[in-house]
Amino acid sequence: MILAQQMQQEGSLLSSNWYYSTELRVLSPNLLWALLFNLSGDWAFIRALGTVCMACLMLTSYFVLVRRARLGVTGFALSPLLLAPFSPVFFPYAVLLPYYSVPVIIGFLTVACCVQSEKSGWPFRLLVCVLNLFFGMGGVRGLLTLHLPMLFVLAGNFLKRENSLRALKKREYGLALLPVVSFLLGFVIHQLVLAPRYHLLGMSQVVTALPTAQQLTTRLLDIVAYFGFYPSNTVASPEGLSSGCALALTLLVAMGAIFVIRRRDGNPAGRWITEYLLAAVAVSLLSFLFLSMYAPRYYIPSLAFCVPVLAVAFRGLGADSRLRQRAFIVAVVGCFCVTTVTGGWYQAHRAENLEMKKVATLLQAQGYDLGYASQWNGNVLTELTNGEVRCVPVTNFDTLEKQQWLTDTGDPTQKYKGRVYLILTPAEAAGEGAALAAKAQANGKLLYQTEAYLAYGFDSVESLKKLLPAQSE
Amino acid sequence: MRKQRRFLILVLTALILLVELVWIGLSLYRSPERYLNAEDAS
Repeated sequence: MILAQQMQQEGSLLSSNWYYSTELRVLSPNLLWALLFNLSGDWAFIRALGTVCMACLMLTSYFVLVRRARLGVTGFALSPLLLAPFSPVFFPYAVLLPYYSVPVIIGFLTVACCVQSEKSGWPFRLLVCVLNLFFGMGGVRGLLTLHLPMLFVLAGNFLKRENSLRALKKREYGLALLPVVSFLLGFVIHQLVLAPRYHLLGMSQVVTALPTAQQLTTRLLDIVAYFGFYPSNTVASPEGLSSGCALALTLLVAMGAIFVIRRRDGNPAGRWITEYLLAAVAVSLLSFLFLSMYAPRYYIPSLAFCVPVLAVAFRGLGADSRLRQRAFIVAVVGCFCVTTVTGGWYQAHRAENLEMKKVATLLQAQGYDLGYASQWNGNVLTELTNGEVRCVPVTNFDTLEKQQWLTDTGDPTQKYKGRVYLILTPAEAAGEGAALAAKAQANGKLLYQTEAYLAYGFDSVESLKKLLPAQSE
Repeated sequence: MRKQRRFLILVLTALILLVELVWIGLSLYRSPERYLNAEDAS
């Protein structure tokens, strides 16, 4: 949101005054937020409306896939799963905070374009290519999550075309490769033009590494966690029940995928989607094992395809046996109901930033509009105060060195003459910020203390800097 | 009968989607502090 406001003020699609993370946010919800900043200055309203718009875009892309793969009413009926809080990974990172909805949307549209590449109209094909061009301009990650699995599916189809369900014609291979080519073109632009021009951390810190057995187990179990597995809970609790259903759902998706792959007379487009899911999960798993960069949410672009695969499996089962089909759908819906109710309750009772809201209210009431905190607390504080209380994210509390990651490049404290605040968590006050916290406490600068935060107030930037351990030595 | 069932499923699905969208929008508008994280707030 902070970047979006900056983009709106600069009137640009990318900000040259921003420290980007591993990717440039060429295609991201920030574009939408920046547009919405023209309508309103209420950050909560912009976030709520923008998130609903992103959810609608994700649903639309899914419906395009359903229509092109001829998944019919089953595919449509499973669409609520994309917005349901069954997953403690997908829901928070792709729906509520929709940064990961972008690769999901592009993934659905690209696969929809490729499953019947010859039947795609040129306007739709062009849209998908343009989206992939911009996607590539953001960074390399889309290659791993979307295009490498797609290339594997195409290669597999090419190698076994003699006994394939429906071998592609040469022209179809070419058309299916168009989005990949567009993405690569975008990535070339990223490397040659954009990356040198903007402040980008990039993938320079990602290194290859041999995985340990523990990492292999974690990466595999995170697939189950995606479906609503909550570790370390008693079996006789809602979380325990949800964990059982998550295991069952993982098995049902796997069984459904195997069933679709083994059938030779089913829906070719459905089979393509299923092959894509398996290839995407395999590529993701391998990259998570051999690269140092990993978070469970990186599975989102791949595992989002579980929903259409369930629809494909359901339709395939109907052709074999009505009884098996009904048993399958009852099991799937039942498990999703349990994980959704548990996940919904869990989401509605999240309280990560409730204490921060109290701190934000106090700082606003006392007229503070600039200060210091760690990256994890500062950005949230700014958003909760409608952008009124700005924060310099700090990476070192002994020197107040600014963190050069996901923040603007300027230094607002240089000519600032007003009062400033400092926020520490109890862990920071006892650890890296212990010396500063002790001096601020001794000088009676403590404004407010909650279980999660300590807020200090200073008359000026200089009076805070006088207390820094580096200055006093 | 088949058409009616199909229509019912479509209407029910559309209703569920509507409820989900309203729930997401209202949750974020009324208490964004519950759901924010540093990366998305930036």
